[in-house]
Amino acid sequence: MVKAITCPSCGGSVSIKYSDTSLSFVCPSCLTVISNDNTSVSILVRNQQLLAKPIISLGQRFKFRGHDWDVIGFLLRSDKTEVYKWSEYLLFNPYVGYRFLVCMDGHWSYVTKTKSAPKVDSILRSASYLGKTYSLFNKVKIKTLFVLGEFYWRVKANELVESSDYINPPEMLSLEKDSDEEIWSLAEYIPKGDIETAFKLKGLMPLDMGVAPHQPSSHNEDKKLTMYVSYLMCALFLVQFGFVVAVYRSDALNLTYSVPNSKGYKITTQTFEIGEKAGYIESEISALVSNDWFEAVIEAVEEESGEEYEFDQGVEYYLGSDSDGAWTEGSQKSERRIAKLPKGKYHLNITTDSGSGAPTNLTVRITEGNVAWGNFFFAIFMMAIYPMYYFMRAKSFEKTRWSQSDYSPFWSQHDD
Amino acid sequence: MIKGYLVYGFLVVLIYSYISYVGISYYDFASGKSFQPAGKTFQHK
Repeated sequence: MVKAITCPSCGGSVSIKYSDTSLSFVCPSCLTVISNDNTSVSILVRNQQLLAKPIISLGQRFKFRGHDWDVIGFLLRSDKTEVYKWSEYLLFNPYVGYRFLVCMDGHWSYVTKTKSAPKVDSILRSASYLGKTYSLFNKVKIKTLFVLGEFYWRVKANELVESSDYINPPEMLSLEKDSDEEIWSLAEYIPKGDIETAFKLKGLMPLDMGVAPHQPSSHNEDKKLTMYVSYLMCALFLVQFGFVVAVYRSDALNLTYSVPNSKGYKITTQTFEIGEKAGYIESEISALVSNDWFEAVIEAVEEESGEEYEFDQGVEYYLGSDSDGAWTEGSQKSERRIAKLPKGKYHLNITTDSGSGAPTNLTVRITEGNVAWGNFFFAIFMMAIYPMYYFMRAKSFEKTRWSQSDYSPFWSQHDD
Repeated sequence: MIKGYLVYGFLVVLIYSYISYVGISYYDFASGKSFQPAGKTFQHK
């Protein structure tokens, strides 16, 4: 019920929209806070200084969350140092009750009083409400610096109240406690776009800064991602297991040749067969060299088509002794993975070379059906890149969130 | 984004299965050496 009252401070006329329920109101002319009793009015705070202007117009009606809300009050509040300030808008719908819209650092919350007091666990630093557990984020003393509009309680300006915040994004439970009462409220983080649309604030929205205590992380799909990673890793392991079980290594050629002069000596091997086995083909050569290098230019010739596939492969082996004792370097054997050859009958044309041209024995071994473990580990690496990035970003977000808290789980020790 | 990762991971499994079957190593791609199964020249690691 609208009621007109004369301001006891300036004599101006003040209209109270909900006079039955509003226990205090502010004279728009002199900014005096006035107590509204049934029969009389009295001054609570005389001549406030205009410290802030609400960006949502008081007295306007907006539709939000399925209800029409009258914006009837505005509060500017801060911590006791007055460094951190935020705005609170009091919304009222006669059929639903009161709600608050809180804007802190450009982050918005929709706040409802809880129907019952949450259960606080001071050891675990948590509070439980409606089956959810909230972690203690901060305990601070706060005060109201400035008010406009009308309120269902008697505004006490500059009086400190103890506040405790518990978070479970996107929600935050808050307790405000003074000598008279304890009030619990539940804040829900609201994306700024929703507020901008509902309250017609295009061009008026403050920039959001940092991470709000109960701001939901954009990296909140960690369970789903973990599940996907598990599926994909299982698929990888199954495929690799399939290769290991189904593919076995076998010799296509394994012969030793005498090389009387390793400079420019030519060998033609016997015919061998390459099948259609999965996996790669490996060429292994060993030459009995000592303090020398040995190289073979190898041509694999497919006998039916005459196609030639050429590669080179070498070994080097040095040994000696010094003041530290005997040493060796290199090896008399080398393996080279070569790409898969088409099925067919082949022989190798080998031309040898070496540093000294000394005679040696050359063993040539061609195997097929080799399982590529490198591919397996590389696939694991490729699959792990995004999850690693995701979880690092998620952790960074949480660290930023908790950097404002005295109870951060990222700290090794807490300072109460 | 997460669904995109599932598609990406599935492709990794497919590509890995294929190149492991035909005997190519990721190293051939990483080193810029192309694979020519029907060509005249082997590619080496």
